[in-house]
Amino acid sequence: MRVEKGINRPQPISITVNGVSQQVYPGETLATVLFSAGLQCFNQNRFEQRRAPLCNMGTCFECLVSVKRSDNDRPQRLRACMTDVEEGMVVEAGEGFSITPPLGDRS
Amino acid sequence: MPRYDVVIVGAGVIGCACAYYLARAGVRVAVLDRNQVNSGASGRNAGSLHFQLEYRLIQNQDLLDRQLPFLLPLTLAGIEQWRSLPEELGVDIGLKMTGGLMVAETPKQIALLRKKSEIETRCGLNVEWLSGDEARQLQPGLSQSVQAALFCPDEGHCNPRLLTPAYARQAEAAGAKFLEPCEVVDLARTGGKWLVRCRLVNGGAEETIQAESVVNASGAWASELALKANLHLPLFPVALMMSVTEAAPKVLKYLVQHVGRKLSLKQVSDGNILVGGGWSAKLQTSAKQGAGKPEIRLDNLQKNLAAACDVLPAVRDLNLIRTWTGITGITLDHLPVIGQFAEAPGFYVAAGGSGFTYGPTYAKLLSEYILTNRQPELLKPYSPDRFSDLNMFMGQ
Repeated sequence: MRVEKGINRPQPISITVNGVSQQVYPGETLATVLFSAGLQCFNQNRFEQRRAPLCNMGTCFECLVSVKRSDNDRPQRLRACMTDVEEGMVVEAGEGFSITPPLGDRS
Repeated sequence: MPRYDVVIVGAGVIGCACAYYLARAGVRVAVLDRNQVNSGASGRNAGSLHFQLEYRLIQNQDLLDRQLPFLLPLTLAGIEQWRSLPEELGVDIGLKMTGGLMVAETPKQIALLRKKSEIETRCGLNVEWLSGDEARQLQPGLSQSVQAALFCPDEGHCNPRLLTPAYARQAEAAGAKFLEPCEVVDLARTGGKWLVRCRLVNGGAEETIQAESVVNASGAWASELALKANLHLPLFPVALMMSVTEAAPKVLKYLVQHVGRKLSLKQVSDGNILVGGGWSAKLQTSAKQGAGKPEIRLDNLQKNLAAACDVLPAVRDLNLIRTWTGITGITLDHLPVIGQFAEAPGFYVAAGGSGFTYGPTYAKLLSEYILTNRQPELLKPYSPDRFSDLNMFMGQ
């Protein structure tokens, strides 16, 4: 849900959230987009607790989501509140997304 | 006028531990700090317990020769003291002494590590030489670039946010009085007693406290305090950066250091990986002494993190959640300065050196010095007398 009356927005761009294409606007953060898409839980922490943005200013790390800049990109776990949307982003978020870092053997 | 046996200035690990050891022996102690308990380097360092020889010592033969006879007994005393601390302090201090690795990545570094190993083995320190593969077997996840490592089973880490408050609480329970935030205005010795003129920060009135002895435990600011007692103490502030990643699954069992690059790595019980190693931040020269917050240097932070990723590639996948700074102090010869000033009887100092790893030991030895009025053998290389040329026209 967005305020429409009296607001002029730039042309929308599209990103993919949990496999579904979304029309979003440049200048919006991922947190804004996820909230407006109705998402209440952004991730599950390592204790399998459901988490959502708390501070909205980059400090609490509760809003981590998985972001790929393009389909072939390596996923990064980024703070939704500090990440601006970009055309073609692929985002995984919600109850099914665990923020526990996947530590593979990279030696 | 309030009277104490000993007034300690600085409520870091050395000040609080010294207060504990003295109060426990029945000495009337007051601890003053212009900020709070543990607000300086003691609470801001990365918490490494490193007992292997430091890079700066291996590089300086003269320094090494002077210190070597004392180093092993000091190290063994430190290790034994750390192992007994959780029980003695009665609270969790996040102590882990599972061992530490110092790694080498290049032939030059291997040669340096070899030299270090020979010196350490000669003086009786427990270290074990590992090939790169052996090191990776012991600590999976170490990079292929690691070609050799020295393992010391007594190394580890402790939580700097828990240690000093634990000492402070025990000191208080033993009768020590804490005055904070309280700054020292002036120090003078008259009739064999020290008069400590101090003022509660935030507009309090000035007060004078009488003491038999004063302990300068003010870390990076020890020279500033010494000057109030009309003494020169060549100790200089150094601002360092520490960083922490988000919590991760357990990957790192040991303290990891590097023989040729500034790096320390450890994983705390909650899973966060601490990254340090002595990369400098920018000291603020315009700020009032003791109050200036150093500025993080992004170029140095990048080098610090690059070293971390080179040695433990899994770090690459982690989010950095915080970088902070702390100000420590170094002397001209890199050794700590601990003892009593010949020019000012009853004025003691303990500052500089590896203040976290050896802080409890420095404090315990200094408290023995004060209690017996005899310099402990282990403190001989660290006496402020080595700077006495500077104090020829100073003193009390």
